[in-house]
Amino acid sequence: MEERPFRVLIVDDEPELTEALADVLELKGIEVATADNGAQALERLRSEPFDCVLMDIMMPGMNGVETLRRAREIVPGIIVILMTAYTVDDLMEEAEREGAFSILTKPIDIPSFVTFLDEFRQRSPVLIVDDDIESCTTLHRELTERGVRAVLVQDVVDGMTALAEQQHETVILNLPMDESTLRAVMALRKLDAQVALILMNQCTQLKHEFRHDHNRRTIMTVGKPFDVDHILELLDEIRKEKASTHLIPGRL
Amino acid sequence: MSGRKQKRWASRIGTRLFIGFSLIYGVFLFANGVEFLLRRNMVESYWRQQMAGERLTSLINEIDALTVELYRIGEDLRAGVGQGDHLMVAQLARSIQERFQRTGQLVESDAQMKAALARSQELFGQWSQSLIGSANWDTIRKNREAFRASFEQIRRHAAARRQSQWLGIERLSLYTDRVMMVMALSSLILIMLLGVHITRSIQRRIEALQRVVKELETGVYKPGSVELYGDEFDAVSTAFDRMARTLNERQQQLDRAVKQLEDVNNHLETLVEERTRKLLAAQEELRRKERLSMLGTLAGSIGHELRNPLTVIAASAYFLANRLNNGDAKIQRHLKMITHQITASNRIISNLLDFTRDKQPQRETSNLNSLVREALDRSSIPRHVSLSLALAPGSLDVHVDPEQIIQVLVNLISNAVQAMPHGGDLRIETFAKNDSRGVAVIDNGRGIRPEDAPKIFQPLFTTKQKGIGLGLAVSKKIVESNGGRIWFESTPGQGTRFFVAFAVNPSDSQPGGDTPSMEANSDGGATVSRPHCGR
Repeated sequence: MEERPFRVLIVDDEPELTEALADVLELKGIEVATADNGAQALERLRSEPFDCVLMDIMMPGMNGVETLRRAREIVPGIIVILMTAYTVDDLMEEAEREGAFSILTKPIDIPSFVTFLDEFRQRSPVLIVDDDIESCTTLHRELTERGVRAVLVQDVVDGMTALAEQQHETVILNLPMDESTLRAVMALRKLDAQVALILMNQCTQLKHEFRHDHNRRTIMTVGKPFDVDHILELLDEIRKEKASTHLIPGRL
Repeated sequence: MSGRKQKRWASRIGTRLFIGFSLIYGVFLFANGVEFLLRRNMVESYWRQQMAGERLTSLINEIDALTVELYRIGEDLRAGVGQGDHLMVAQLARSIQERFQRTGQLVESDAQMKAALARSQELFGQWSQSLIGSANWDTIRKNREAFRASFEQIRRHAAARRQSQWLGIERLSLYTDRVMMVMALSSLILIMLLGVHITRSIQRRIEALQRVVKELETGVYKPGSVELYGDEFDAVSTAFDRMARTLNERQQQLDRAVKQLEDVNNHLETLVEERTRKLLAAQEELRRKERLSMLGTLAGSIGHELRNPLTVIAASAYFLANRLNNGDAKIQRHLKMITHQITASNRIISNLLDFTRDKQPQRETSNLNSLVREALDRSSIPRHVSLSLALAPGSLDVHVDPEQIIQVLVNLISNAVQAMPHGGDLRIETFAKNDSRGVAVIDNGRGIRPEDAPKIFQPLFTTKQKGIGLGLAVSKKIVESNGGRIWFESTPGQGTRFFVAFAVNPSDSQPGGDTPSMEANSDGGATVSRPHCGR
């Protein structure tokens, strides 16, 4: 599978700000595109793939929240980080409801943000471990279409190899309900204690087994046939939890 | 009780009047009786004499008439005419003699009269004998003349005696009239005296009552001071006295009521004064707040506007710092200074904006120890300040907006660090008391001067060279809107302890209450001069 670069879209009506931030992100090898307003940003989102949008809330014309809503319609799996110089509670609350990944107060903490993006870039691809080639390609396709990067492996051993090579925030396991799954989960956890696991079956035994998971890392289950939107919601949750150690939400 | 007294009072005045009048009436009756007796005896005796006198007179007149008849018969006999004879003369003389006898019986008590009568009877005897004996005329005539003279004497005597009887009756009636007059007069005088006495005694009592009334009017009357004389008016006096007592009591009650009213009035006045003072203070506070709010709005918009350029500067500085990685150490130092100053500027702006806006805290159960750690993560502690933590074990959960309280703690930590420019010990403690959980941020810096203590939480008050004095004002506002208290203890030259505490039961802590703010002030003021313990 071809690997496209990690891309960020910066939207702000202040050109010097977008320029300065773009330069900073490019330092870390992140591809950056900029837009001066919401409409322009949506146009770019329609034509190019992006992993993350960093956008001002208060913009002339379409504001950040409106743009966010439309952006999520175009690319449901994209993370949108909003920033604001003003304290606009109603807009901020609306943005949170609309699924803003985080709201940062200007001046944003540049080092933290860069670290977050860097880590997110590396960890964000979802590792799909599936022994059913058909279902796993479907899931992979569905996620990619929604702007979520995903890596696909066919069995647990490959999955463990992939996890060892590169950190993944989330692993989606679609395995039969037997002892092997349980062992797979144990093994993955051993490899990366922080990894979040999404199990594609309603195995109550597993649930019971991991109820006393003291690491408090997410183990989630989704039923079959899977609902991609639900998986996206879970991913959002996992990402936010992870990100909160780096990004201080903009609360004034 | 009062009814019986009134009855006694009525019976007594009745008795007095009855005795008075019966006395007068008795005297009057007695006088009448005496008069009656006097009259009866005297009149009877006089009357008897009068009757006797009358009979005497008529007998004398009869004798007179009979003697005239006898004389006429005698004359006829002498002349030999008429039918008279000596028998007739003798009969006539006998009846005259008989009348003399009866007359003599009448005048038994009068010796002079009896002697005169006896003499006259004798002369008549001589005259009648001479007439019967047919003596010579001259003798007869002489005898008759003698008799007539003596008889005339008797007639005169009888007339005089009658006269004297009439005079006696007249004298008697005059006397009784005088007696009656005296009686009537004395009765009148007695009645008048009695009337005067009664009038005077009544008047005296009325005057006494008038005095009482006058004393009552002027309010100098002392209950029980009315004189009692043991008469009917005592009841009135007692009634007056009772009335006076009642009036006195009423007056006292009235006085007490007036006093109470005055007290209430005074109290009200002080209340009104106090309220007015409070109102003025509130107005002043309002004006101050309005001024602050205007300034705040202005400062807020400036602050907001500054955030965009700060972002650009921060990004540029970061960019330069990364690009000039191998560059001059001086350049790196300056880029760090820029970043540092951006952080400082941003804190000023944040405080300003926090102060100017009321953000409802989004309270959730938060662990104070975690909040402290988070606040420390976000604070930069210089090398010359040594940090020590004393986090209490156990549940330190409080119901607060974690972000806001972290902000407060960052603020307090920043203040503590700034209070120790030449280094010192920063100590952060968390504590759990019965009903509250709290944090103490303790430094051993320069401390707060007692005169600054009351103003420490006021906005725009600062002792620092830099800074606009909003940090603690914002902290107080935030803590109180989260239902907590903030206060401090300080000893100049030795250090300061700032405390933030929250009630455990979230329902107990209402945001924005007045009480915590007053407590914060008074606690700060009260403890600031206290010697610092434990350091």
